[in-house]
Amino acid sequence: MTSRPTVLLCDDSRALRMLAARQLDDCGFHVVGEAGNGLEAVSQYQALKPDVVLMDLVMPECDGKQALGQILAQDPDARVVILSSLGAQSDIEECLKLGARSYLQKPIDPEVMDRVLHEAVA
Amino acid sequence: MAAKFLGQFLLERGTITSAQLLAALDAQRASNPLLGELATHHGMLDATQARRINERQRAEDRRFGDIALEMGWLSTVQLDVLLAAQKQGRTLFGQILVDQGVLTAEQLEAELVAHRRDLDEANHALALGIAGHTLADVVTSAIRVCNRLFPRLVGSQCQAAGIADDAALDACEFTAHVRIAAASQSLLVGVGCSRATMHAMACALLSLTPEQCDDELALDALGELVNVLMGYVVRDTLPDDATYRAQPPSTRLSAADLTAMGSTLALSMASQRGDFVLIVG
Repeated sequence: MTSRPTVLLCDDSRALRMLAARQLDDCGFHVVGEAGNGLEAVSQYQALKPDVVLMDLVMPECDGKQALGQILAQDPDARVVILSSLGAQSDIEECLKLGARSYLQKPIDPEVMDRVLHEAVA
Repeated sequence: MAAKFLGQFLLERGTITSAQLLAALDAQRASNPLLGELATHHGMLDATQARRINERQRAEDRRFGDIALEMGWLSTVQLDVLLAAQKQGRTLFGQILVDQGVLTAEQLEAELVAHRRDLDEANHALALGIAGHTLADVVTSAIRVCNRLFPRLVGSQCQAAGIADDAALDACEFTAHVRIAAASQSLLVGVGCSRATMHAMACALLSLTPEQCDDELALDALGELVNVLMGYVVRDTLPDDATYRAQPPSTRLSAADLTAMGSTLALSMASQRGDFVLIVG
């Protein structure tokens, strides 16, 4: 049996994490960890080394952009996909320049998530 | 004067009891399965496929059947069969009351006429309240979005009941709102409601039992619901090439605080998950 790619899911909204975790499972991913802020995301990444990180941009403590930078500083090959709210185009572009693989917009379209995350781990 | 669903109208007139209302609503839900429920019941889709189509409907404004066809998960023949079965099984709320012996057919007819008159007056008052307001277009869009999305998001019909008064605002124990700032204008969409309504909406949105949902999670879910509503209001009201920035959902302000923020309009909304206030600014 082929093992499912692992995901670290980072968003400060528990409700969003719950909805996204279900969608990720349906898309064939295994959610190995969840983080509610950027600091947790960085420490969970170190501990879990997931295949891909799905990272919200706006989070308390340390936001998604800072966490992206710290994760890539630790592991330049880390695959991070940004999860953004409406209209955050300039933030998305900045994250892509920093090294994010791609991005998803909320509300998450499961077909887009499926494609984007499988491309990220390919 | 507020627009009400037939059940609420009959309850408030003393025509039916709350126990009769609940029994009829249960029967109505059973007789009106969603297309996804029917498809899984008939073995045409599995539960994961049906859920995935439902989730896609949150991001796109499309019908279940259209997405299922596009995915190649249902054929047109299968879809026709399901739609016919759905139509055939559907029983109107009033007819259920007659079938259950709560009302006679003649009583129902008279009550439907009274309800129609009540609805017309309420809708006229609502239209007058919105007409000429600087936010008329945005408010109309927000109402339409709620009408369209509530069945998909929380499995409930939803309709505007009227302009919210102070009592409706005071009854909001919780609120969530999202603001976006565009070059030419800013938009605000918020929802305020009681704890019971918030939990009912959250459990439906997240497919949870009441025991699995605490206040913090329910409030988070209310924020996600508002986020989705705002996404559709933006699509409806801003030009395609508009640049804007959305703030994440905030749950810190009271409904009265939200309506005090510049030009806003608050509407009382009726839904089967409970009444709520829709605040647009």
